[in-house]
Amino acid sequence: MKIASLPPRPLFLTALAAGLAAPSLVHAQDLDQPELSGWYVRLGAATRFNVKAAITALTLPTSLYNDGFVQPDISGTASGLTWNWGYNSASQIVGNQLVLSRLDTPNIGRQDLNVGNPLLGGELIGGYHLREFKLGKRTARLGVELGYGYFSASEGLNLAAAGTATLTKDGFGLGGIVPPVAPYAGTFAGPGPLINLNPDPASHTVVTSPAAATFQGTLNTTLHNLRFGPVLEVDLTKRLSASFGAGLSSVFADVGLNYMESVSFSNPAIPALGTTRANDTFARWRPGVYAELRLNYQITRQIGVFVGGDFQHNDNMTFGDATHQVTLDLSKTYGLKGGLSFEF
Amino acid sequence: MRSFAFVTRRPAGTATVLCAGLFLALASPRVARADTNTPPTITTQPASGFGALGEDFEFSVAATGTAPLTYQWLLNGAGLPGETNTVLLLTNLTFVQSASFAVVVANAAETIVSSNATLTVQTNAPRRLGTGRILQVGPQVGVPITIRANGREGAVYFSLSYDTNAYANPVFLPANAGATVSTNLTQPATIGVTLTLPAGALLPSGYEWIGLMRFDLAANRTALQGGLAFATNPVPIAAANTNYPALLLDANVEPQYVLVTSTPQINRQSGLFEQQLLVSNPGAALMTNVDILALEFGSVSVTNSLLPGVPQTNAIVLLNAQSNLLNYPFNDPLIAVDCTNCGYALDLPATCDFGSYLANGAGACSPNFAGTNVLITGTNFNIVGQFVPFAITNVPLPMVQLNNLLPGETRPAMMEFYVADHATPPAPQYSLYLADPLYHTPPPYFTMPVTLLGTRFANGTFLVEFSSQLGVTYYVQYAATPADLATNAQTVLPPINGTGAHIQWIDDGPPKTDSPPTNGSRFYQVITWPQPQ
Repeated sequence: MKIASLPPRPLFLTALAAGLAAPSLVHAQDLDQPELSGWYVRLGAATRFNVKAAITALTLPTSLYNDGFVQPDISGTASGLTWNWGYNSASQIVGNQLVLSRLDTPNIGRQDLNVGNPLLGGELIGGYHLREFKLGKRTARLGVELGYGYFSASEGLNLAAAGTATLTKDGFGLGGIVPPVAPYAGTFAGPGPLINLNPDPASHTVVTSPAAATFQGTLNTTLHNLRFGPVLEVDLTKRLSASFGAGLSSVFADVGLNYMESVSFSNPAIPALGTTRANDTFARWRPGVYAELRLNYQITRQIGVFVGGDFQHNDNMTFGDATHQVTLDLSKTYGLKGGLSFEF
Repeated sequence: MRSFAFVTRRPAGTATVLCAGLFLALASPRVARADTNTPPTITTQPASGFGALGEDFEFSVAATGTAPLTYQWLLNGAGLPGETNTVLLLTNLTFVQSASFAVVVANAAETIVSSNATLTVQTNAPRRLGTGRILQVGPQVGVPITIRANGREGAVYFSLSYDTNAYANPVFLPANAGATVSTNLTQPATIGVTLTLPAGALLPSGYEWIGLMRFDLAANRTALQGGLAFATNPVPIAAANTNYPALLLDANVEPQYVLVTSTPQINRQSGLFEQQLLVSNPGAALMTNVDILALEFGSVSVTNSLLPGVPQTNAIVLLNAQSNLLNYPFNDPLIAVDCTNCGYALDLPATCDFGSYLANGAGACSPNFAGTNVLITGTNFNIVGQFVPFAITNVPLPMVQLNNLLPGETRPAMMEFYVADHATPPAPQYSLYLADPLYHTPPPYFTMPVTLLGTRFANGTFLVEFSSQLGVTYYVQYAATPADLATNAQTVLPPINGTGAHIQWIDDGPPKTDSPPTNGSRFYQVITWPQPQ
């Protein structure tokens, strides 16, 4: 579908136009140019606000240990035996017992983060005017747009916690079995060597100590934002038009958490822990929807400028490791943008 | 020549009726007369049956009605020329005679056709002579002699040889007190037996035990070292009745077992319930395919805390089953040797004798020889209390196999049961028999070696450990030397299905491996395909 060429338009939005290199006047020869094809491209800078993240320190479930596990298997608990157990090192076999240890330390708990605040990037939109029609006395155009946006930010983390550390040790009777070579992890359905499901009460020991934990790291976030949907553009004046678009979006969120964590104890009965270093990365497509409002000022028949804002909702995502979990909240993000538009 | 019609009343004086395409029409009209003839009635229909190649088989019919009655036998609806008697004798059977037979009976009043009877001609004789569970009372042993009969046998002949170093002074005690028994001891280390039932009596169709051969046991031998073998001299092996002096009869000495573990016990090393059997070859010939069939080991319902409300049922499995048995030849096993109330031992109480045993009376002297045969219906395996034909209805039965059991040899076999609740002992019944061999080699593409995490000898077993992946199959192979492992390894059945976890495979001897391991005696490798990632 061909769109009729626009007539020369008066100068408008001088403040915006002043920052543009394009000429601010429409030349007479524009009138002689052929009709436009309906295709257009918009390119500009963009920001995203309200991208949130939260980091949570995880604690072991009560039935797990730092160096192994003994859990109920398919038989349940009635028999008092299980083949659903595992351990890490031969040193954990002491006599006829499997000794498992668990260290609970102070941690950073849950901390909310504002990622980038805002994230900076750019946006490229391609569109096509499907149809031009009258909306009252105004000329309106219905089209579709496909857009891509890129945003990136890096957030430093420097957290600390203090409290009491608890070191727990339990011994589980092996019942005379020869343990499989470490590391070993049995399964729920088995079969496998059976050991006692419950620890020997006499083997249960607990050591406590004041402790301090520090957590330092960086959260790097990159968003690739794809969107597609219809757009309605209404001419407000001969050069100024407003566009409203909405549709589907999908954000490819590429997030990395680099950190190092250390815990120190006052009681030497609890062995010192080395500094834990980790680099967790995660990338996923997160589906969603968007709505956008934009003002376009046509400098020439083919070149214009625009400003706009949008709201976008996308699914959250969670990633992490055995000790920390990061949740990226993309459910309510806002964007501001501005740039050039080109029509063909 | 008379003519007749099928199931068509012939009015007096009428002329013709067609006869199955074989006989001509009546030659002439009959003279009308008063219809005082009684139509024929078949009082005994021809009976279906089995026959073996080269054997004879007889159909018979009995009918009443106004004489004269005429008979014409049909094969698949076509008349058999010359077969016009109440008895159809088929001699020197061939497979062509596996067919449907019937007989047309006629008199002046009517012509009728019997029901169809089927003859099935088989390669091997469906009759089978065997040995039941060998029992011992003090210094004497009793070898039950069993037969799978077709219902037409009035006499059984056989010879049984034995090792005179173990057995002596054989005496045959018939189960039917009215039977006539004659023995022939003219051949060394062999007893010939002729057993004739009372006049008119026939063995019932199905399994039956016909008596017990009693021997004195040498002091230095066990009851299962008798070196038994059915022989054809001095008395050929055959069954007979008044019409057929030489009905074909197969004969096999069957493997025996006793339970070392009376009730399956849990082995915490493997996590499995185990029951050990001692399987013996009481015969004089090599047994190469001794199959141990496990029946009725039960099920258990488990509710576990990780899956609340989800019961785990039917979770008792014979884990080291090498195969599932789907069909038996002629729908029966050779002999399923079992004894449900034998106290898991060969010995009868000292106060008993074999006469009490034969009388099958109540009390300890009657070990209830029921269970010699198994009846399998639906998904339940029932050891029945009587000798009945064996039937199987597409129920796969788990089994393990022992190879190369020498005469007089006894070998342990460890049966392993996965029990989901770790608590309910399986209650298996076992059936031993001789069958086709299994393939003890993995598929040729299973060649990729798996890195072993360790091989240790502990508590009389080897522990072979390796990492596994879910969905991958692993074969354990072993040999006496590393060189043999590369070129002549034995492959363990069944293969191991990867669980995604580290597997600790236990070699505690047969049936996984040919003999119990000793420290330093064995080398292992594990192969698979594709190579675990």
